[in-house]
Amino acid sequence: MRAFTRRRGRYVAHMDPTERQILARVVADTAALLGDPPGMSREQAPPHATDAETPEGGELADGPALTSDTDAAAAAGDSEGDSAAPDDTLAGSGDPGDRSDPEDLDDADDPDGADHIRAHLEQLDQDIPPPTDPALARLLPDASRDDPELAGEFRRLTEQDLRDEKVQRLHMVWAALQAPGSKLTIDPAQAMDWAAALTDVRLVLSERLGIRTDEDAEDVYALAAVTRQGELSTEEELRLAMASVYSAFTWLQESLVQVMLPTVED
Amino acid sequence: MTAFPDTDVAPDVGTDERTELDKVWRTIVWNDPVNLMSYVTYVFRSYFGYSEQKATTLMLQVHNEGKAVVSSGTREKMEVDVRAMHSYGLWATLDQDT
Repeated sequence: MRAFTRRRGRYVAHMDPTERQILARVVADTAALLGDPPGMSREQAPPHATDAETPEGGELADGPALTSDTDAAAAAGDSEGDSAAPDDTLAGSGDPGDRSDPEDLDDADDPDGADHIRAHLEQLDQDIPPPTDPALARLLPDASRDDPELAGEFRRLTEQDLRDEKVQRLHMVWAALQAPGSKLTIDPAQAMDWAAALTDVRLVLSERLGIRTDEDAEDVYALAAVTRQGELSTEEELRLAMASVYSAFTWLQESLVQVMLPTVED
Repeated sequence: MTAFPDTDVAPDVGTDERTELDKVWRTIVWNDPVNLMSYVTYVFRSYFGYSEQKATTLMLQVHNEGKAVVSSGTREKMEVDVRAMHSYGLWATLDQDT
C-alpha cells in the first residue's frame, strides 16, 4: 500500500487487490452495521427499525469474521492477480450495479411515493431508542450527555438522515475499491466524503478492538507493527488481523488528510 | 404627579421571556482516541471556516482538556453544527450556556 499523494490536483494512493478486498470488506461491514450493505437493493437490506433488537447487521458485529476474511481475501488475491472480479467480492451478494438507482425501484412499486412519505411521517412521530450496539452508537451518538429528552428529540429528527448519509459515503468508497488495478484516485471534491467514511470504519473497528484511551490506540498500532513468532490462538489471530486493518485505515486516512489540509482556504 | 414620557415606544415588559430566548446554546466536541488530530483540525477549518490557528487551538483543547466549545448561537444553529460533527464522526453535544 502506498499513501495518498497529490498528482495533478487529484489524490492518488496505491494498494494491491488483496489490500483492496480486505478494506472493501470492512467498509461493507460498516455499511451493513448501519443497515444497508453495498451490493444489495434496499428491499433486501435488513430494515433499520430492527437495529435496536438485532444490532448484528454486519460481520463486524459478530467479530470472528475478519480472520477467515483475511485468509479468503488473500487466497482470492493470489489466484486472481489484478483482475479481481466484483462478482467474487466478499462484501455482499449481487451486482453492485443493481443498487445504483434504488429510488427507481421505489418509484416503480409506488408511483406517488405515498407509502414512503407516510412511513417517513410516522417515523417522525416515534421515538428512536439509542443503538444498543456500542459501535453503532459511536456512529450515531447522543447529542446530549445529561438530557435524555434533548438527545431523544435530536435523534428522532436527525438519525435516519445521518444513517443514510454515512451509508451513501461507505457505498461510494466500497464501489471505488472494486475498480480494477492498484491505483486509487480521488477527486478533491470527494475527499471529505472519503475521509469521513474512513473515520466511520475506524470508529467501528476501534470499538471492536476495545480502544478507549490514547494508550489503547498506541498498543493496537504496536501490535500491528511487530512481527509475530510462534503459534497464535484464533483469538490472537483475529485481534492481530483487526489491529492491522485498523492501523492501515489510520495510516491511509492520515495521508489523505495531509494532502487535503493545504487546500483549505481561510 | 408625573407625566408618562411622550414616546411611541411601549415599555419593554417582556424581559424574562427575552432572556430565556437569548440564552446561548453551544456545540461541544469531546475527545476520543480514534479521530486524528489532523482530521479534527481539517473539520474545524473546512466546516466552521476557522483559521489554521483557531482550528489548531480548539483541536488541542479537545485533545488536552477532553472537550471544547466549538461554536455557539441559537439552538437551531447548534443542532445543525452537532449534526454536521456527527456526520464527520466527531462526538458532539449541544447544551445551553448557564
